[in-house]
Amino acid sequence: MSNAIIKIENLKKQYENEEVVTPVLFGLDFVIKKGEFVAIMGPSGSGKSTLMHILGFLDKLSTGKYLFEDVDVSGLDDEQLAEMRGHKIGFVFQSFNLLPRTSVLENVMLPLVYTKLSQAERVEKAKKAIEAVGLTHRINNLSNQLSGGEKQRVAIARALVNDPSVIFADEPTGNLDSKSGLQIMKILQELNLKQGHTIILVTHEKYTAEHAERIIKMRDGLIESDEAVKNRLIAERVGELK
Amino acid sequence: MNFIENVNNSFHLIKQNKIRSFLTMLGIIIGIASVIMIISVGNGAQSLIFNQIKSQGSNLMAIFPGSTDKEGPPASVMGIVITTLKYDDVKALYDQSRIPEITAYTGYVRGSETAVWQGNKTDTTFIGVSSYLPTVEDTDTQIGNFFTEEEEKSMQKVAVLGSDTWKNLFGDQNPVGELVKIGKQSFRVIGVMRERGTSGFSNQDNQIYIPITVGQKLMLGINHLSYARLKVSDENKLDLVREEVKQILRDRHDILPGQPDDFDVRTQKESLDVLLQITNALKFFLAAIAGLALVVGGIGIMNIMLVSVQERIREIGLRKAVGAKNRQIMIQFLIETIVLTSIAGIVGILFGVLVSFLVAVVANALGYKWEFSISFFSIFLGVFVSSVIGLIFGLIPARRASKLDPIDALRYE
Repeated sequence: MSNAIIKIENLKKQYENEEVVTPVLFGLDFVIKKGEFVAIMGPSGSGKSTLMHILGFLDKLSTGKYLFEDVDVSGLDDEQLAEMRGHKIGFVFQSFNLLPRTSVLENVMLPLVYTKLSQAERVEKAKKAIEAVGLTHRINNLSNQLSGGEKQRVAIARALVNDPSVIFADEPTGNLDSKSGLQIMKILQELNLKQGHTIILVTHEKYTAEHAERIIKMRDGLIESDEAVKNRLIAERVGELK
Repeated sequence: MNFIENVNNSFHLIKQNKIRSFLTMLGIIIGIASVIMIISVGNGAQSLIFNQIKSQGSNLMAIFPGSTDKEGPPASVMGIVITTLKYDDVKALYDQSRIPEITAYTGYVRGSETAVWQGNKTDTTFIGVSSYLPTVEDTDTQIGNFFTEEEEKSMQKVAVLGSDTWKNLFGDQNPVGELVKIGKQSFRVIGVMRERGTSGFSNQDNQIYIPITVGQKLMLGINHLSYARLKVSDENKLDLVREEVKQILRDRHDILPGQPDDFDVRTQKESLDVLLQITNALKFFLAAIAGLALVVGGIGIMNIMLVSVQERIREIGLRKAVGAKNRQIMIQFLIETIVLTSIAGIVGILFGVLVSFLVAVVANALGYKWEFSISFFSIFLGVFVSSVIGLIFGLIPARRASKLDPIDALRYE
């Protein structure tokens, strides 16, 4: 088994609406290794969200090849995609997407609800994930009693809870003030550096992207550049400077 | 997510939206409660009527004036006055040599009047009957005696009071020998009937029995009967006796062969069957109308569930993003609807039972011997119907939720 977690070859995507065909991705190739922290960057309309949806099993590719952990996953059906999302992927969204008026614990447990784990195992796993984002003291609070930064930390805990192979973070700091945003980036970096999680960050901000170790820049459905970050920002240090 | 978790989740959501959930359930609650109530009250009313009729014995035969088709009620019951049946007809039937099985007979005429004794007044029904009434109706006097055939023949103005009428006029005082005014006529009280309860919807204890001859000539000025009853000694010979009765009446009324009867002879059982048909039809008609409320309630639930799906599009998107399959989303929403309708069903059943019980309590307080009964069938119907409504009307919202595209759902504002 190679250490590549995601490998795409000539991946193309087009949306077909009645007779109009709208191409979005024009043939992408790259490999993401286990333990990498990659940012996918680009302006809106560049196709970065579509790419993330395909990589995160929310959408299907049109042509090309997608290998996930060395297994060809190009032709999975809806049910299999759901299975992959439930076991291999964790999502963090810009707008948190927590269940309203529901406790932190229950929010974090949500992905486990669709697994065969017992209630006790679910609670144990959720508690561990909540501890990892430093919210143990808020575990019984309702989601609407939390600040924006805390909400996103709950979302990260939720993404962690099923021990995913890859965590996708879609503009995770987009709805936050800069201080809370930094805290989120710090948590993501810690998850990557200390615990070895593979993280794919989707953003249009250069500053946020530079917290990753590698940036894939996209423009008009093509990869514009794919290179390592030279002066990687470490959230903790930047936070201290402020 | 297993079944129990889905149910818990549904309860959680219902608690979160208490008022909305209650209003949503109201249609089903009212529908189920109405069905239960109508069936229970219908059964109570039926048992009330039937028990009274049955208590008079099954070897009774009734003669109604006017011809009627077998399936329907007698014409006289429908309020049509027919004057062809005379008291002499009934007396002729009692001729022992022709039909020995007839052991007693009575004709009936009745009217409403105010009875007065020493300034005490009570509104009552007087009934003109023959001296055999206690035998025919299987009853007796508690004080004094019923009038005799002699008193009837000689048109004595004597009266036997129902137990309520007695209490209304005399309190606990012995009324025998007292003079009571019924309308313009004075009657000498000779006895008091024992308590008899209600028959159908008339209180048999608030009645005054007088000789039929007096009732016809002095009180009403008529010479026909409303109807007549015969007591037959052997229940198994009812059909035989009926044929004899018919023949005698046809002869007396000069009805030519081939012409229809101008009277109708029915056994107690036949009367019961007709009554059962009518009351059953009424009961199920009412229950069907109440059932319509259930359909309307179901549509209400579907409507709210569609709104709920629309409101929770992002939640559905999120659930799919974290691994929920279409089927699991579908089941979640379906169970939510079923839990909602089942709670409504249970509340409806409780409410229906409570109201039925109150009706029985009130009816008993008013002197009717009303049986409170909730049929197992109506409970089963309530639970079953409400879950089926949940299943049917939950299907469309649940399908809509399950078909949502996760990306669109997550982006939905």
